Amino acid sequence: MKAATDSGWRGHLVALLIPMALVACTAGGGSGGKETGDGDGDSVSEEEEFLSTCEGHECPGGTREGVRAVCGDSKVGPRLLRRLTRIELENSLRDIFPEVGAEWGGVELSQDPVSSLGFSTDAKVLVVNGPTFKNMLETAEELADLVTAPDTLSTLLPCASSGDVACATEFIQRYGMRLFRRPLSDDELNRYLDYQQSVAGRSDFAGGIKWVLSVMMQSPRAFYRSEIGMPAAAGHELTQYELATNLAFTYAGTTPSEELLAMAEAGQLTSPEQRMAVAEALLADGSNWEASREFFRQWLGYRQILNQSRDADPTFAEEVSPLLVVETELFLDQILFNRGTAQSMMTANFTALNDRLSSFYGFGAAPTPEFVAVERPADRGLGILAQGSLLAATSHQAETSPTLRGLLYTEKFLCMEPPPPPDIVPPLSEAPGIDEAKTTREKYELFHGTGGCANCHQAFDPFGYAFEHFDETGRYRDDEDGEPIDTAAVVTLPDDTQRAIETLGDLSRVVNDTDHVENCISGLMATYFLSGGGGANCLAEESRGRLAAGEITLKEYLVSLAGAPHFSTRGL
Amino acid sequence: MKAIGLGLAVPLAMRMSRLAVAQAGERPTRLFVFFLPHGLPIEHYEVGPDMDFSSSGIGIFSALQPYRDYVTVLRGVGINTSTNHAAIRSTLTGAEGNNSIDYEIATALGSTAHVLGAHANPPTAGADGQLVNHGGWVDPIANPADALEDLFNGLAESGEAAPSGPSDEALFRAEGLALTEAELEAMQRELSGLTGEENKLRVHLESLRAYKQAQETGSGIGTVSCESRPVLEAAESMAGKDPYAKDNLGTVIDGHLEASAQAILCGTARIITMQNLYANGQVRMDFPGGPGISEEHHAPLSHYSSGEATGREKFAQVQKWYYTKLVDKLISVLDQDDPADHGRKVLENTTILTISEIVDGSNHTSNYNPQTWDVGGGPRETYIPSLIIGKGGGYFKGGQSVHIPGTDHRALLATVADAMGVKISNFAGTSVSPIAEVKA
Repeated sequence: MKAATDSGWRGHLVALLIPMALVACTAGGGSGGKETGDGDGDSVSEEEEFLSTCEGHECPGGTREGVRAVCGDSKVGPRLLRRLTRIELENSLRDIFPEVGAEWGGVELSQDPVSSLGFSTDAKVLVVNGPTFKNMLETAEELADLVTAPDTLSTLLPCASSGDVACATEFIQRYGMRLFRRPLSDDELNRYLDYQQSVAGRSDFAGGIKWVLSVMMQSPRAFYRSEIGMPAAAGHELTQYELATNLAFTYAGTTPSEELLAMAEAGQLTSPEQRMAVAEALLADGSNWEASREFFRQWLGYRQILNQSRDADPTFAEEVSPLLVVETELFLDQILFNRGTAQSMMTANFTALNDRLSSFYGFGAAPTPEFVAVERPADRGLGILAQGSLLAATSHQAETSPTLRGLLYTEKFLCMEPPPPPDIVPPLSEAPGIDEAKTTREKYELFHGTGGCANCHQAFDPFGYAFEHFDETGRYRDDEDGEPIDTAAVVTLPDDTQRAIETLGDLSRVVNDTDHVENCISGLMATYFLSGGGGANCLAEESRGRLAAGEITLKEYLVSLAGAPHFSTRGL
Repeated sequence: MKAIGLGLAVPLAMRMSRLAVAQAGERPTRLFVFFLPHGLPIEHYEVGPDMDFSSSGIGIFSALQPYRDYVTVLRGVGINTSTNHAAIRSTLTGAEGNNSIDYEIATALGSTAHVLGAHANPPTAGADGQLVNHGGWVDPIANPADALEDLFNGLAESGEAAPSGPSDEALFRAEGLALTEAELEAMQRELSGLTGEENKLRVHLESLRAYKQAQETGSGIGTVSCESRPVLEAAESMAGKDPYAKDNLGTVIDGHLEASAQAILCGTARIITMQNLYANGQVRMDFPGGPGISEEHHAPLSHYSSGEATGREKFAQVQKWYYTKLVDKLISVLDQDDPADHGRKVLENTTILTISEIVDGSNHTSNYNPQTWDVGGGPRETYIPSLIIGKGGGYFKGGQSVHIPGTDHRALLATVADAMGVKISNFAGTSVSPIAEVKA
C-alpha cells in the first residue's frame, strides 16, 4: 500500500474500509498511567528584560466567528464563477475522454492557491493568472492532439472518415455538452463550427477538430463552474445544469456524468430531496471518495509530514511518514463513510495499523502488512487527535511543540483565530533559566507562560501541553528523557469558560458536552464543499444542530449540504 | 523615458501602480530574482565600504569577490508592510494583495515573467510558500526539465532544425485565442455588476492578452541569439523525475540556474524569479551535492539563537552554499560578451536581486531596526539581507556597500523596475522613488 499522491489519485484508497473486527493490542512498555510532575513554570520575574520582548504586543485574536457561528436560519451566498481546481479539471477531462487513458500525462496546471482557511476550493482565490492560462493552453492542446490521433478519433467519432459538416457538428455538440456541462447555444455551435471548418480547410478534418476542441476546453464556459443562476422571486435560482454540476463536483470531484446531465435536462434536481438522493448515490460509490478525503487533507494538513525527518527515528522520512498518512486516511474513511459522527471522530478508540506501524507505536503486533482496525490501548489517546501524522506534523525535527499543537486544536477544532506573532520572536534557547528546564513543557512555560508572551500563548499553549505524552514522531512516551511528563492544564474555550484537562483524552472529549467542535467542523465543511460560499457563512443551519446533537453522521451532514438553500439559490 | 497609459494587470480592488516604459532601442536589460528564505546570520555576511566579502565570519558572499565591481550591497532595507513568515507574501509584491514586481515589469515591457521553484517539498505549504503574484499566487515550475520549454519558448531542442516563419499551428492558435478572448469579453458583459466576478474575468482576459503579446514580441529584448536550445544536462536529467524529492534538490537547483543563465544569454527569457524553499522549508540540507548539513533549513538551522554560535555558523554555511551556487551556475556564465549588445558583458545589462523575507531566522523580524539586537559580539543594526548584482544596463554604479537605514523595500523594488526601464511612482499603496545611492 502507498499513500495517495496529488495526481492520478482516484481509487487509490477505494475499498480500504478497514475490517471492523478490532484487534486489541497491549502497549509495549511503560505504565501509561497518570502523568506526574509539578507542571509549574519556574518564576522568571527577575528576567523582565527578556520577557519584555513580547510586551506591548497586542493579542487581537478572536474566534473565527464567521465559520463557527450558528445563525438559526441558513443564509445564501452571492452568485459566482468558480474555476475548476487542478484535480477537478484532470478528473473531468479523463472522464470525458477515457480513450486517451495512460497516454495522457495529465493537466499541466500547478498547485491551486489556497484561502486563508487553507482551502483550494474557494472561488475567490481560483483565478486564471498568466501561468495558469499558459498551462491550460498547453493542457488543451496536448489533450486535443491525443484525442484527434487517427486511431482515437476513429473510435470516438466513427464518422470522422467522411470529414463532413454533419460529423463536425456531431462532435462539437456532443463534447460541447460534456465540457460546458450544458447544451451549446446555437451561437456557440455556429461559432465553433465556423472555426473548425476554417482550420480544416487549411489542414484537414482532424486538424479542425483538434483546434476547435482545444478552444472549447479553454473556454471560460468550461473552465469555470457557473453558479450564476436565473432571476427568481427571491434572488436567483441555479439552473438544472448548474445544479448537476455542483452535485458532481461536490460529491464526486468531477464533471457530471451523462446520466446526471440527463436528470438535469428532465428537471429532476429541483427539490432538496432529489439533490440529496443524488449526493447519497454519488457517495455510495467508493471511486468518488477522494473528493471528500481532500477536505480532511486540506483541513488538517497531516500530509506535510511526508519526507520530513525526525532525529529520533532515521527511518521516519522514508518508511514511517507514508504509513502514518495511510493510517490517518483509513481512520477518517472509517469515520466519514461508515456512519461516524463528529463525536466519534474525536473519541473513537480505534485506529488503523499494519505490522510495521504497530511495531513503531509499540502497540503489540498487528498481524499483517495489510492495515486492520486496531483498538487503542488505554491512555494512548483517542480519535483524530491521537493520529501519529497529526502529532508529528505539529512537532519539530527534534522536539514537540506545545505551541503548534495548541494552535492545531484551537484553529482547526475550535475555529479560534490565532493572533499574529510579535515582530521579534526571541529564541526559546535564550530564555533565562532555560538550561534548568527539564522538559519541553517547562521550557515553553518559562518562555510563554509569563510576561508579555503569555498574553497570547496562554490562549493556546495549554491545549498543547495535553499532547505531551506523544513525542515528535507521534509515539507515546512515558517520560521525557527520564523526567515525568505533566499534561494537566486549564484551557479556555471559545465561550470563555475554563476547563481542567488532565490528558489528551480529556481534550478529545470536549466534543461530548459542548458544541464548539461540531460547530467549527460543520462550518468548515460547508465552506469547503460550497466553494467558500462567496464569503457567506451559516450555509447549512438546518442540519448543523443535528450534527452537534449527534443525531446525524458526518456523511449525512455532507449529504445535507445538497439540500441547503445555498446549494440552489443565490442572492440578488 | 516616455510615459504611456497601460492597462494594468491588476483588479480594481488591488492597489494601483503608475508605470512608464522606456523606449525600445535602449540597453537589453534582464532581471533575475533569487529568493532565499529566513535571512542570513548577519555576523557572517556584513560587508563594509571596503567590499571585502570575507571579512565577516565565514563570508557568506565570498564567492562574489571576483565580481565585486558588479555588486551593490544594501544595508538598511526593511519590509514595513508585514513581518515574520507572512512577509514572504510582501517581499516581491510590496504588500499582500498587490501583483509582484516581476509581473509589473514584464507586463510593462510586453515580456513574460518566469517563475522557478526549488522546494524539495510537495507544494502544500499554503501561505508560507506564496512569493510571486501574477493576478493570483503563482506556483513556481518545480522541475527544471519542464522549465526548459518555458524559458526557451520557440527554440528547437539542440540538434533539431529551427522552425522557419510562423507555423500553421501558430496561426490556428492565434485564431483560437481570439475566440476565447471574445467569450471572456461576452461573459464580462453578462456579469456586469458582479464586481468580484468581473475582476476574476479581467485577470483571465489580461493573462490571455499578455500571452498573445509575449508570443508576438518574444522576451522583449528583440534579439534571440541561439538557433537551438543549448544542451543542459542537469535540467534534462530531471525529465520524469520527482522535483520534490529531497535527493533531487541539488540537481533541481543546478538545473534552474543553468537554464536561466542560458535563456538569458540566448535572449529567450528576460525576467526570471527563482524561489528557493518556503518560509518554513523543513528540508534537511544533506541532500546529494548540497551543503552537507544534516539539519532542516527552517528549524533548527535558521532558528539558532544569537547565543548559539556553532548553530548559526551551520546556517551560514548553508546560505553560503546557495550564494556560491548562484555564482558558479549563473553569475559566472553571464560574465561574457552580450550577444544582444556586443562589447558589453551580459552582467552589465543584468540586474540580479537577491532577497529574503526575514532579517535573520533567529530574531524572525522583517523590518529595519537600528542597533537593537545583540548578536555576534555586539548590538547590531538589522535589515533584510539583499544584494543587487550586475549593472542593470548601466543603471547601477556597483562595487559599493551602501548604508541606507530604514529604506522601505518597496523603494528597492521600484529601483529594480527603474533599472529595467519601468518607472513606478506608486507601488503597493505608497509613493516610491528609486534609491539614489545605488545609481551610477
